[in-house]
Amino acid sequence: MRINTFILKLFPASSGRRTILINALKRVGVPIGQPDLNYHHWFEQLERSKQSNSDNLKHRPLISIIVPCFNTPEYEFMEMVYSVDNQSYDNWELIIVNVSTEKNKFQYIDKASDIDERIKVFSADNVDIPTNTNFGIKHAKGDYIGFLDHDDTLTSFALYETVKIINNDPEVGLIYSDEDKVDANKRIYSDPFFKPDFSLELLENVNYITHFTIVKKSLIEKVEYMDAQCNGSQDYDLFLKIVDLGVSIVHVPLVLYHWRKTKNSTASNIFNKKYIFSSGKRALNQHINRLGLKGEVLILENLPGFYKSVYKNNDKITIVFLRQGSVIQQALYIRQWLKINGHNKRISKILVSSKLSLGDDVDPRISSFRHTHDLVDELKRSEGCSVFYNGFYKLNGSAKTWLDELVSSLEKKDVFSVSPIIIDKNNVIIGGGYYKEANEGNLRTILSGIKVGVDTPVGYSGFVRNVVAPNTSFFAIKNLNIGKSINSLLDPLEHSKIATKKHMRSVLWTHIHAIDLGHDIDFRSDYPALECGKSTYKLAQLPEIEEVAGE
Amino acid sequence: MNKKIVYVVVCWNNSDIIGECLESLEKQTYSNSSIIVVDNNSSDNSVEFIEQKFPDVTIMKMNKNYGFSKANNIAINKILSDSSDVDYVGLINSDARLSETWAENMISFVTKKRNLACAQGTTLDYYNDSIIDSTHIYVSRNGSAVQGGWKKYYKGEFGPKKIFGVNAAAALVSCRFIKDQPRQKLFDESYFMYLEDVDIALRSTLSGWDNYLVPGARAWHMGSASTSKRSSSFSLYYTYRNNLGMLIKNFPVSVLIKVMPRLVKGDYLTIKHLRRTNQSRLIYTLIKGRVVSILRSPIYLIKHFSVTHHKINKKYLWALMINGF
Repeated sequence: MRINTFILKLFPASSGRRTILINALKRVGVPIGQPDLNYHHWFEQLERSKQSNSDNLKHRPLISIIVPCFNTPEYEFMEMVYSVDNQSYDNWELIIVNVSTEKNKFQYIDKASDIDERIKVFSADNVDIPTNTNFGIKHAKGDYIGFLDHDDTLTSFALYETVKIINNDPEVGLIYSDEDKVDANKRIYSDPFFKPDFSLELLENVNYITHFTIVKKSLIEKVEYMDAQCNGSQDYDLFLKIVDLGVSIVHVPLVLYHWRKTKNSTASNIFNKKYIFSSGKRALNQHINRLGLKGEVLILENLPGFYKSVYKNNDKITIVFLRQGSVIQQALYIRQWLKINGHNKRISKILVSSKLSLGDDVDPRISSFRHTHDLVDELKRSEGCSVFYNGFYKLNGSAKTWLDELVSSLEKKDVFSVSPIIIDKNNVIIGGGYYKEANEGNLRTILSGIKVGVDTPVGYSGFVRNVVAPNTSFFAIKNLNIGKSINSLLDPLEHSKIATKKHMRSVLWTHIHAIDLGHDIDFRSDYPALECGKSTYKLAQLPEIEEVAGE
Repeated sequence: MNKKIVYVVVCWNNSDIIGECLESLEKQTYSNSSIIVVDNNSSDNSVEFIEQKFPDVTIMKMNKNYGFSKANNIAINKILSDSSDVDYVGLINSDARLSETWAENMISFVTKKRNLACAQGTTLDYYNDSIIDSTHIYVSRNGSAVQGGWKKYYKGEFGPKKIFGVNAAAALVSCRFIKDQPRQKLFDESYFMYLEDVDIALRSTLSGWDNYLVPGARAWHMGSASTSKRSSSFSLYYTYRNNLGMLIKNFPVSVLIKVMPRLVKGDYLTIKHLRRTNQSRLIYTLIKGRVVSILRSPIYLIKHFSVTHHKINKKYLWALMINGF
């Protein structure tokens, strides 16, 4: 750091040369300048406000925290042990499974039991992380088990906040919290991850639960502890098993865990640890089997730790193009759509407004409707799902099987509707799902204005999320859930009310990116030559839309 | 109730304030305790006052003013030689008083900690419950000793926290730690006043012992009551006189090398501050203190080699020297 500040002093502040130098060094990876301490100060204030005693808890169960320690460096080990020792809640025990092979490290880890009588150190031979952890769980006496990595730290109010949740809901099976990162060498906190409330779809996309998690011990025994065959994703496998038991999962919306940024962490070597992803895929496949459904799990190669869980069914799909734009615009759009997607044999019907004339021999599955409210009777008679288009969308880089993928999320019986994520030409999110604002209850678009594929404090912008309402201009829904009126499905607030009433959830399926073409579609740049009637027009020569309408 | 605690209070012409202190000790809910007062040859009626009002208190009358450190050491020596069943010593200043449940809270906390040297609770200002006197003490990265929490508003109970060190105003010390010290002397008597508790803090933390801030153990402390009759130059002189020796005696060389440049910069900034706040006469006191500390440094260099081998991880120590916990 000293050398960096010295170099900076050679370049006067606010000069162009300094900016160029800083950017160049940052790109190479040199830590330059002061770290961003905004979040750090916010966290310190949070800690000050939470420094109270834990006297007002009626039920004070014993929480066992399990830490397998394999050759932990001394500084990180001390920070970890004292972070548990300094908990404001006092009914805990810390089970350290000492599997170290280096003699000096083994010794100071072994001595940790001198610090407090609630710290217990058990020595064992190192097998792998799941086996080491199971060894610790079997020695634990608490009703609840918490998992801690050997070089991470807990906030001082972590156990107090989780026991508060247990007091409110004694039957809770799994509690998870938000986390942030702590610098390798100093106690500087950064990069928080404020997690969403429990979402099964997100858990099938990535193990977002990670730390800090507390699970009821009886449930761990029920699922036969951690699976050594899922080494690398053993916690992912455990969480999926607990979730499939149907117990209540609660999210504590507070940062309770600091994840240390060290060279020994998984993140820096993640591309070398391919066994992690194959065991994650295995865990997800077992989860799909437990649900009694058929499905397929794909490892996303460019996103380590992320998976695409696609359920399979053979439902018939109805495509509904609601009346949008000018007649010619929509006609051209639908013809192009059919050219790209018409081969899909699961499409049984394509419903188009009677005001359009597409031509007689475009596709035998096309039938027309006069008014939107006629659709209800039409759809209720068909089984399967429907995909509603209430605008013009073009898919960006999605697989040929995107349609099957989109409706696959509806396979779970609690899922009401699905929509892809809507982006503009610059990959910026402009739609896809709504969340409810805290104060007035207005619906707002999730992550609007953020580029798709970046990390944010509320998670990666490409997470598959549960939303209050999907994008109501392009979504899929099972026909039996459609209800009495199509118009109420097209309004986000009404849509959300219907879903909530049925105790169902909607999904933002971010594996499919749809560009919203708006109403000023420039067919010239987006679509190549189209067949329109009997003549072929090169789009550069396409005259004004209004003139062609008369033909 | 099976752990025994003995309170040690040093008195030097404190007849006006020691009554409340001793009263609070007698009112403790934890009864397995006794009280020793060491009188440093008071010239007022302190001894008669205590003998009359607090007949159960053992008074050790010194024939001259031995100072805070030596008086405490004499009392502790008596405790350890008289009976071997005392587990904890409570060091209480004469200008401090404890809440009724201080010992109860302390002992129920410290019995879990085998590795504990000293413990304190959040000590508040004697006259104002909303201001903190101290939560802990520590040595910062520029080598100066800091009293943590001093004059801050009390906004809720702190802890439990592992802290760098403990303020000797209302502290619990484990006899296991005292017996581990060279010649079983808790305080280093070469400091006449100031920084003796910081020396204990350094010695304990650097050799791998733990010091804790215990929630719920309430005490109140006036702060510098005995020395407020003297000028602030007295405290400044002795702090600077003792500071360098304390660092040389306790710190490992690698940490000392990191501290030295910051220490010089700290002195420079303090002198600048004194000039700005019209206290230039204290600059002479500061410099005199530093010079004397440099002259006294050979004493502490020799003591450096008799101190227990450093056990604490140096990276952790350096991290502790920011806030003290």
